[in-house]
Amino acid sequence: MKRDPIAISIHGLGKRYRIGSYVGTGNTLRGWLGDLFSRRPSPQSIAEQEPRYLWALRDLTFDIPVGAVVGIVGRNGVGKSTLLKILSRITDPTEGSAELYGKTSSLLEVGTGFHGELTGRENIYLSGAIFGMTRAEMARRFDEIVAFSELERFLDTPVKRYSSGMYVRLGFAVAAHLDPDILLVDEVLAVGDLSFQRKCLNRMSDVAQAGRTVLFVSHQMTAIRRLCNRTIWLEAGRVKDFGSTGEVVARYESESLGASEAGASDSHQGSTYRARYLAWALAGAPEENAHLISMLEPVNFRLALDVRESVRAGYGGFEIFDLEGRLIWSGSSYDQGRGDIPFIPGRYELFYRLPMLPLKPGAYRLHASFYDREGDRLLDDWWANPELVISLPPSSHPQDEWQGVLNLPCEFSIRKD
Amino acid sequence: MTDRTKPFSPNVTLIRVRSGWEALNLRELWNRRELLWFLAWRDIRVRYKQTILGVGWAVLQPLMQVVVFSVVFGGFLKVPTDNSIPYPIFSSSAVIPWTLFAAILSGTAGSLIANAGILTKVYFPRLLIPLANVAARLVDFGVAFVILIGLILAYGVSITPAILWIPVFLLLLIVCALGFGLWLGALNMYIRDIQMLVPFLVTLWEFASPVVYSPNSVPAAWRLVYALNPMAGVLIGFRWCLLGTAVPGPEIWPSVIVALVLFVSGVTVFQRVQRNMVDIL
Repeated sequence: MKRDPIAISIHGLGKRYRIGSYVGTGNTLRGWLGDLFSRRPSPQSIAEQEPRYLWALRDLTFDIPVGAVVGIVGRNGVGKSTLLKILSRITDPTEGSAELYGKTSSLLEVGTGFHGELTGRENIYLSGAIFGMTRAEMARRFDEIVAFSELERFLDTPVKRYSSGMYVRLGFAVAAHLDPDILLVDEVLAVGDLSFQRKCLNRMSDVAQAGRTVLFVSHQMTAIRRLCNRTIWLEAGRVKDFGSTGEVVARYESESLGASEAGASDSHQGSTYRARYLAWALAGAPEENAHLISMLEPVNFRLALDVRESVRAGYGGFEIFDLEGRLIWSGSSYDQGRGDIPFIPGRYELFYRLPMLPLKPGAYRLHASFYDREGDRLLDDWWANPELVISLPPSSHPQDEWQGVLNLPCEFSIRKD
Repeated sequence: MTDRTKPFSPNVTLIRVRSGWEALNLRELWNRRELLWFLAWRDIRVRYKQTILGVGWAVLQPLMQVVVFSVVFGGFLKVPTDNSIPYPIFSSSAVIPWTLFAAILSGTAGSLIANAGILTKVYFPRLLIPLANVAARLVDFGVAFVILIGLILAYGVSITPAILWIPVFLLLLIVCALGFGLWLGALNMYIRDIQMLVPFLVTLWEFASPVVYSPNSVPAAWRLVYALNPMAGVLIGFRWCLLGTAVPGPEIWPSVIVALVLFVSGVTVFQRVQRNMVDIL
């Protein structure tokens, strides 16, 4: 049986953090000296102190083959960054071990080691040295770095006078030329303007295509889908799922919606109100698919509205956002020429019917608002639970499957005059 | 089949739980020596950027101290010096090494916190940060030292071959300042009160060392205790090298031993603390 060579091998990795600070826990210098002089915390002392600790990671075991580009997804605080910090040796694990085969660079931040007083040129050298480039390597790649950053004219300006965009460009330019065998990246694409983000993403896929191994943490599912062939889903410090990106990300997205459905994250608060949205569903869909669109067909959103006090001039708004917060579509009760609507107390159903909703697969957030136009009062402002899941079969070429916004079948033809 | 095909690579990184004390990885430090120079260069650049006098401050700071000491202790109080050496050079031959000592000590104690931004984002041997501080401060010292030699010659004191011993006492000074600084830096991770304490400590220690007075003024009964102060040995040595005062006697050994103990224990504690310090920073 032939196996792929392994780049990263992780066995039972775990990391425990102390909750709260050392100072003020009533056990400061003494506790510290105790830690310092005991070879290992005794099981008894762990048991005593367990409530003061939190396992950020636990029992992580997996291998990553050479050349794999692996995404790491999960909600905030599930240990994604901790994992990268351990693998980049910034902090030690509490248990378990890991082996990395090859030169490793970590990019946990853009512009690591930059000093505002130093010029762009000086900072390139400083940051490069901090990342472990030798002077010779830097001299060789300096021009490339400068060209990538597009900051030729500002090389001798102190970085403190740079705009935040320029700062990010310089930082990424240095990082993009490190040439490691293994690259650990944490959410650094979330900064910078769109064109630069695209440039960084392209650079990262070049790195990936050159056979490097990449671990990539991000909250941007589009970036994960585009870059990563495999994805790890972390939850509460453990691996919940590890497989092909398409499957894992889809499961992650639909489950994170389920979690928000069960959780108390409904944007509604308090129990007194004049009017309030209660629920939404796709009218005409069976119960289990009431929040899922899987075919290109007419879509009819049904919003349940409870009105407790009369509203003389009611007006409803309804929008669809993607998970990155971009508005995809908006409609309102004014559509089709209808004006303000009088409401007397009671339960209402509001319908928004669309001929189709040809969006790329993924999760979308629905937002509904309700106004009394008399006095322009906002009566309800609701982020709907659960979110909308779209799982239309992809209609485009697999390479473009996750790009763009629309997912529409297209008929192509060609004719020669 | 448990055997995995692993690519051969000279860069295998093993990440594991480390417990107990461990030796310093000197090879890793050596491999990253370029970073040491870059960090030292950064410290110097940043310190004097946008100042008019630039590295002149490295001279001016101790010089102002010498002027004050000369007026107060040399002029008003008539503090006796060894061999009736003029007070200004008597004090500056100690003030200049003392300035280096204070700079290394407080710089080392605060260097980890000051560099938290880098330490939490990228790995390199942590000891490079305090070492770079030492290197940067040595540049300041070098400039001040040249001026000091000029001053000594200007006062008509001749330089003797004993000056060749300077590197030995300089090393003792660094070992002592770095060792104690690493202790303070490690403690400062946990108890930030330390950084408040450092300036006070430096001032106190300065008067407990033969900076403004001659060690001969110390009562005989206290000589042994006094010799435990490693900076006493260092400054007595500096004065001997530069001004030809009495050759340091056996009282130098307690200083050497204390300095070495401080250094070895300081490095060890630092190694222990640096492992998980980013969790606290």
